[in-house]
Amino acid sequence: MKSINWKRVALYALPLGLLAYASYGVWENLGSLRNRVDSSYALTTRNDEGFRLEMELGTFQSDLIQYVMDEGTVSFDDVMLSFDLVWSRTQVLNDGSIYTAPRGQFEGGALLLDLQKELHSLDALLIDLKPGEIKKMNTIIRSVSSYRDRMVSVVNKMIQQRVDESNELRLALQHVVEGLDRMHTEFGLGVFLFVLLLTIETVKARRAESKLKHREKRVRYLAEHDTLTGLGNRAYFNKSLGRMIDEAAQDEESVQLLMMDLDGFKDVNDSFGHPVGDELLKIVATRLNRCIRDGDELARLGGDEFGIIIGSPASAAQMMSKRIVESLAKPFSIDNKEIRISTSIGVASYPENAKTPAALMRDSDMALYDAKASGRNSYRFYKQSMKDALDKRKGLEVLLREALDKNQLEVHYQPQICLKTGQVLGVEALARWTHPERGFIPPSDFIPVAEHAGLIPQLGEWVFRQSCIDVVEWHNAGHHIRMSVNLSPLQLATANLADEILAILQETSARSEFITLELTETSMMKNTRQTKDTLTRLNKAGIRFAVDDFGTGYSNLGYLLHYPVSYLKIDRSFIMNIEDSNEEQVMTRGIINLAHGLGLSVVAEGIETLEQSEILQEMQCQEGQGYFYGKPMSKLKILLYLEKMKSNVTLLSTGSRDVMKSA
Amino acid sequence: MSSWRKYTFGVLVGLAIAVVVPAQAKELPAPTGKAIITFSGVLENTNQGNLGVVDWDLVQQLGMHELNTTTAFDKGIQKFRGVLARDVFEYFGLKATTIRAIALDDYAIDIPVEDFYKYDVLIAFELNGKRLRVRDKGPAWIVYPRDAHQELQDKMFDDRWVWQLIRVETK
Repeated sequence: MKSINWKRVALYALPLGLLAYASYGVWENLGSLRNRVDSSYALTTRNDEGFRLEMELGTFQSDLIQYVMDEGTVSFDDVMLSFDLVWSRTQVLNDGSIYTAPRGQFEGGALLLDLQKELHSLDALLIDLKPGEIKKMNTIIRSVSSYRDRMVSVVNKMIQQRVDESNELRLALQHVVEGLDRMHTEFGLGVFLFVLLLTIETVKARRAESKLKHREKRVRYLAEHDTLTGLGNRAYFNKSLGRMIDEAAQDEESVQLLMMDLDGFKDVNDSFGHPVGDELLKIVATRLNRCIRDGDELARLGGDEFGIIIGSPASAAQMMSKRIVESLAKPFSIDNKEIRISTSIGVASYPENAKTPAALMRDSDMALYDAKASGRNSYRFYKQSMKDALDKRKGLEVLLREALDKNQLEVHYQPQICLKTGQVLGVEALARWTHPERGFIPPSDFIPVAEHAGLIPQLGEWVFRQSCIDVVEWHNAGHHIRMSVNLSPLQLATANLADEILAILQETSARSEFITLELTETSMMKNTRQTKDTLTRLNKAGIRFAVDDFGTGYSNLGYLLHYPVSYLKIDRSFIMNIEDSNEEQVMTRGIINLAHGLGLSVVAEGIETLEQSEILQEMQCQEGQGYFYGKPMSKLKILLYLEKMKSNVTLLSTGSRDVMKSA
Repeated sequence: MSSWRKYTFGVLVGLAIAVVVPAQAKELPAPTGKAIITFSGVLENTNQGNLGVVDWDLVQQLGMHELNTTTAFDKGIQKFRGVLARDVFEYFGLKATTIRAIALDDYAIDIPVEDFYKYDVLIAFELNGKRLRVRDKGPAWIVYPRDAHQELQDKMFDDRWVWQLIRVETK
């Protein structure tokens, strides 16, 4: 509830009161003016009966003389008409009401009463007056003349009276005019105050409106801008893109859309904290601003994503992209820390690549993806092949989802052998996909698709469960071998990985001491804290870890001490040429010595020849895998293989028949 | 307002007639008795040369109306009898917005024709059952129904009560 603002009420009551007062003055003045008009009218139009009577007496007298003295010129009727007029005039004057003197009685009142009496007697004389009756005529004329003389003095008084009244009226009118002047002033003042208040109100309203407008502007600004960098946001960017495409369409020009993100920005955030990350984004925004020209649009689309729209041909976009990549590659100095990042840019052109904002965004996104995929710190222009690849990937993704649902995937196992005895120590589980129509689809094709589609956790879990089920079966059949399963960095990033793995172990009754999880060096380097917790927990539960593809990734060996690792798997690239290359031998030997020094076991990957196996044995490498010992095999084949290898060693296996039956 | 409308209507009808019938002054029956009032000026119909003459027969023919009213000249209610002024105007086809009424003593005043349509204004010939003589402000007297209309009780209207009326001219 808003309380009454008395100050304001008073402020308004004052001029309104003045206006009312002025109006009252106007009314009053007009009233008196009206009265004055009436009295001036009365003054000027008052029946001048007195004058008229005096004149009519004269007319009657002359008519009478002419009638008596000069027969024929004036008729008796004419004389009587003159007399009747005198008669009626006298009567009217005596009635009095027609003559309303402003004050007092008509001066000649007594005279007129006498005259009326006289007229009655004269009437009797006139009735039978004949021409030539001069005596009678003279009697009448004497009488009339005496009245005329007396009438003159009355008329004179009347004239004087008129002069007096005129004077009075003049004064009164003067007063009225003065009143009108005052009225004008009052009215003017009232109107002035009213207009003043109106103006104040208008100004106030306008101010309120401009405040509101300002607020609206601010809201609009906030809705379209990123508060951290002050650049436009995605909404603003989308709007600008639409506008610039429309403009280009009209002028038949082209538009270049640059989408970029910072490579390794997440690492900066993780390593230095968000404040540093924010500061970095601000500096990036500043540098980007220096790379664009007037008329170009720059926006932060979210996170470390930026977008630029330029209304120029593709060549300009190329130059700008190059400049941006170079500019952002220069080190950033924040809080006395030197930070280096790089950037990847994807460019799409209107109208060459796409005609709509959405399609243009999609294309530049694709180009950006390509830039990132092909080593980062670079820019790529959209090409049809990118879309083809994407389409292929999308197609494959649909099939992969279907395959996961329909259980079309299989786990194949590659034996891991004791190089000295030839005994099968374990197997490495590998996902295989044979599509009913397309046939065999290599992991190098479908793993990236699974990664991109976010299917890795699902796929990984499925492989792990399948491996556990199988290894339990083999154990039951008397083959007490180890099971190695690959763990993707994407799986490692899920928070409850340890719970899931332990749950599956319980579910399948697989024994953890037979399970080895294989990780790449790079995946071990990420999510340090969480990774360490997960690995430590699983290790405590009995699970062992192997470093996959060792020697190809990170050169910092500190992590080997940091994590509970049991095996190093030497990458196949070292083994491939080990017979011929001295350097490879030195490297391999180094790795083996390093592993032994740290108390780790070594598994050599990709052994294809007896010679390679012998060299490795000579280097004290205990285990190996590769085509020389066996390709990845289906569950059934690996069981047969195990049976065969076991019989090679023990000649008989008691549990083999059960296993065969269950398979 | 209604009289104004009436007037406008009259003008429109008049115009319509003027278009259909070629404008031709209608010759009315000539007066037989003594002239009481003489109309002159723009008249559609005349009865003596280009004049409209009102005699006692015409008064009878147009019909007399009675009006009981106070006057500014006598005390009490007076009984007037006479013709409606507008009946006479229409009889002569008077074309004017203002007339000038002239009395025996040459008193003259302009009166808007509107008055005669707005109010039932009489040209009276009798007062309290007697024919008006010159001595009684006769022979004709313009009388307004001042009791029925407040606005008529005004000096301006009092002056339009022309007595001893003998001539009417269109302005």
